[in-house]
Amino acid sequence: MTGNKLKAPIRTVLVEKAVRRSPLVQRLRKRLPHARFQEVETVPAASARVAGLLEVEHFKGRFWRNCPGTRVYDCCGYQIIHFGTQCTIDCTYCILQAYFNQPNLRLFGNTDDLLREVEERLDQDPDRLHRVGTGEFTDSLLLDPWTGLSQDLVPLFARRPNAVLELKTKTDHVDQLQDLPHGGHTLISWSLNAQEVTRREESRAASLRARLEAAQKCARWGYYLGFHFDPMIHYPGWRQGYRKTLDALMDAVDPSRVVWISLGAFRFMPELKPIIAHNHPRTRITTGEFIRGLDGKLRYFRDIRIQLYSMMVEALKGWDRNLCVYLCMEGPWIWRKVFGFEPADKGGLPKMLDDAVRTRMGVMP
Amino acid sequence: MELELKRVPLEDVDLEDATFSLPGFRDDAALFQSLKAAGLIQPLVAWERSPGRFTLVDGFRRMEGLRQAGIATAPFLVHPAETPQERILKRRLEDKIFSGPLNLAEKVQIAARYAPLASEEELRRRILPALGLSSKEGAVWRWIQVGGWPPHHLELLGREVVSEKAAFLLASWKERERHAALQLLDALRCSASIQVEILERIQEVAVRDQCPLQEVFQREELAAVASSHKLNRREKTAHVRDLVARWRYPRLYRKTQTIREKIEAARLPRTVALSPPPHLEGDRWELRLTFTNLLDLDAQISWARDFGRSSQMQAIWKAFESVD
Ligand code: SF4
Repeated sequence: MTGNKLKAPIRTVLVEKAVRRSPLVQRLRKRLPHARFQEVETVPAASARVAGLLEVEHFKGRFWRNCPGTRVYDCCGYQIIHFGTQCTIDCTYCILQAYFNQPNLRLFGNTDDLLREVEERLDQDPDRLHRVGTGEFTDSLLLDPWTGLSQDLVPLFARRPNAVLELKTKTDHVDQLQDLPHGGHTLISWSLNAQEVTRREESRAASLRARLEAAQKCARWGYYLGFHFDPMIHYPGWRQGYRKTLDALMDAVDPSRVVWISLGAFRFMPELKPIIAHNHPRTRITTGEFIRGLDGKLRYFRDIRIQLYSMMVEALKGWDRNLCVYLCMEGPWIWRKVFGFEPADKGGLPKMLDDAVRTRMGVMP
Repeated sequence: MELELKRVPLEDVDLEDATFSLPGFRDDAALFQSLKAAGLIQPLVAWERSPGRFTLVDGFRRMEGLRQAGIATAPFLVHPAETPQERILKRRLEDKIFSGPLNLAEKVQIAARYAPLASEEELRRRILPALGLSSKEGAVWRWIQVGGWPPHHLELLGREVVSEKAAFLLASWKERERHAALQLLDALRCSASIQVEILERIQEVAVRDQCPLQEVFQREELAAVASSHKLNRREKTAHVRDLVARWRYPRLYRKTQTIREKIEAARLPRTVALSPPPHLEGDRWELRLTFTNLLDLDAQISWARDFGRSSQMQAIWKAFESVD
């Protein structure tokens, strides 16, 4: 996937009649002139992915959700706008593979309802700083050039003194963001990895170089940036691999534009293991030294996580000592070893991230 | 389907024809003794493929017993020649499913034989559950594979050397690799969950080290344990589990061992048990004290306080905290 020759991954669009006139569907019709549009009462259940198919549903559930934290591992207090599901980047480790009942790319066509719910939620809690993202059940920008969802969300957040929006991606689909009035309330973030990992496990994602070039563009357009080294993979040569990516990042980006960088070692539900083996028989990603964590997920045994994180933190703090670097879903015992403190010492992880938003982006309710 | 009761000379039955055979690899001795003592109680079942030539449908072990006893003719329920083979096979399989306890070898052969006669849906929803076999995603394909294993592998299922879960896992392995796995399981005769644990770990080691599975089974240490004459099966199993855990989790294994050794070196009283967090995850250690009366409790607590500051406990803690 490279920036300048964007190719729509969609050949057929299945639209539920209830949303056929929605702005999202209108945009799709305009921006996907060669796609075949078919209207149905209800998108039928599917048992296997159909290549090139996009389903547009009238979603009746909650668009606004809280990030699913756990009791033992520190959660960041993030909030999620749920705008669609599935992703065609097909990372070997992706949790979405476990969602058998909805294997196809799916968007929620009733974006008016979505935007209304977002406004309502932000109004309900005006004194709280909301850190909101969209990339939980799909990639935030994978289809954005065609859906134009960022055209709605970015200006909405620009008007809100109590919220910032994070668009998280592994693509370089950013050109549509150029002229949006973001008001400094949106950060575009990339998931980064060692290049060996990107090649083997994220083979359909944009290259490291393409991601960083996209980040440079966004920085030029005034956006803030975020980076997520997640999932970090322990493999022979991981130190050099991650070091190279860090060097590339540090060369490409001014750290003062970076609001946060998260680190998360690979963790997964045990049920995902046979699914990964079935879908990606060549990957070795599940053969690390995984133990069952206190939340039931498999995660690298503590020393491996500590080593992965410590190396990264040392390098990142050398780049900018005030940079907000945090661990995603880690226990206080790991934080103490890596940082010498645990989130509770600083008022909790959500507060640490709120502080990063205040100091870097100047946003505060 | 009309079945006719006839006396048939055993020499007219084609013994080479295994069309309907579903070997269960059971011990025949008791059955043969019963045949000797009480004779044939139920007639055998055959198909008169062509006039005067019969294919045995049901009663393969009894047939063998009769032949060994030198019996020349026996009563048979006979399917006429015009009965389609598929119909006879289906009836045979249905009879077998509901006619009493089946071992795993029989179950998988029935599943495999039924596959061409039923839809995948029927196999998943009716046949596999009736056989008591797992019918989860991908199960039909797996049981068909297992049902097609050669007799010496099926025999290990019949003899309950290999569990259903292990067979399910081995369904996708190549024959040589499966052979190595089955040999190991035959040497260990361990529980179903341990079978799966060992096989999965070996498989993951092979994937991680990018070497053929066969090569992992052939590693000297493993082969030595499996073929040892000094160890009993229980000891072999313990050794193999330990070995495979060491290969699969080298760093965790090393660290756990070091901590265990330090705890042993501390020579804790028998009333005390000290355990690190399971898999060393989290920060919850456990120190268990057992006491007999309040004075004893006081003494134990005081001991624990001293132990917490002792050089032994420092050494244990250091081993836990260090990251190598
Ligand atoms: S980019 Fe994200 S959502 Fe898409 S496949 Fe990879 S992990 Fe899954």
